[in-house]
Amino acid sequence: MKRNKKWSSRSLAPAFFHNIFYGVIRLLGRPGAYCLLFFVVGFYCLLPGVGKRPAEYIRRRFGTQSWLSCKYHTFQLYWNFGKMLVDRSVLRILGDFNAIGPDEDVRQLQELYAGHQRLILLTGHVGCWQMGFSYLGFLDAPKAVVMLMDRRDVDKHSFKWKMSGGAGKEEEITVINPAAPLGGTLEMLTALRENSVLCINGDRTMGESRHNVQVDFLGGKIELPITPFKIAATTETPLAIVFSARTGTGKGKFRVAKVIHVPKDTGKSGIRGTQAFTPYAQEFAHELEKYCQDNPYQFYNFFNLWN
Amino acid sequence: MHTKLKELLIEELNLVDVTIDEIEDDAPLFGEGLGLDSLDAVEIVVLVQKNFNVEIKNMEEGKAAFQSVNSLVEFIQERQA
Repeated sequence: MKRNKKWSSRSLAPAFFHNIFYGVIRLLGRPGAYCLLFFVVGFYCLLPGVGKRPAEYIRRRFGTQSWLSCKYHTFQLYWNFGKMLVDRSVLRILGDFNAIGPDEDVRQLQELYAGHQRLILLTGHVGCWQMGFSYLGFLDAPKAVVMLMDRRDVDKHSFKWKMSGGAGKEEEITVINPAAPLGGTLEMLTALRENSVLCINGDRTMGESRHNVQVDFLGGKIELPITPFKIAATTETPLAIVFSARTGTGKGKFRVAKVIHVPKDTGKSGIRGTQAFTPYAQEFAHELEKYCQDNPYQFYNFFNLWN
Repeated sequence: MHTKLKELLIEELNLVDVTIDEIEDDAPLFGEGLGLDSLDAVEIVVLVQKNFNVEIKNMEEGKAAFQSVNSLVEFIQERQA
């Protein structure tokens, strides 16, 4: 079995630094944390290893750059990522984040869920995807998210908050670990069987490489997992590609990019096997590319996807 | 039930080069043996529910059921009883 391990969920900074940020947020609020973040990001961007991580994305998204421009883009990427992390901590500590979205998207997701009593939301490590969940209070359904949780992770996630669109109730999100035996697939099925909204990140591969397909993305080929599409097909669940962009201090915008209905017999007739899911993975890559065009500094896959 | 289950596995999992006779009752379904994987597990859970009205809810249940055709049959029969 070929394992794909290009990245880790482990934070760059040790727990001590995270705790400093949590303390600053409690004492000085978000502005204080942003000030501290500016110097931390500036320092990290000077480290050669840290600068290399987004280099291929920068080259493909912005073209070949001078050393100075490259440093600028690197700083912007980490600066936006850092602000997202601060906002995420503020949401968890102070419950403050304002996510909005178009009414038509709300209606569309409500109708999809009502029609099937389950729904898959496919997103990526972009914008403010975790906080975007705080916007889903209008969906009266249990919610589960598939996310790799490394035992060495030190940053805290925001999976407990007051849902903005609901009745102000605090809602717990079930976290499903894709590194569990059988990739957490049984837990995903159970969540859907229990009428959940299941959120999956579709832009990182892990586990067995035979579950990945190659798609076009920013002028090259990357591998994406077919798991979300396979589960959508097998369980006859609609799949909505959604993204949340951070639009300002403590603000985000949630958007439905596309809805896909993967036919139940995908991979069983005509083109068989994994390759049958390539068109759906390509649609996701296409929407992700559009997102990167609109939000160039909110792409948080800090490794060479094209390698 | 063994034969029906094997037929379903071959059909639903696209095991195009495998015949019913080649699937041993006590051979492992995952890893060595049939060599199934996590996405095949998704198919098995769904086919078991659809054809036998039995749910495999989580890895704890799956671990016992997915050992072999024998264990899957036992699991189904236990739940149907």
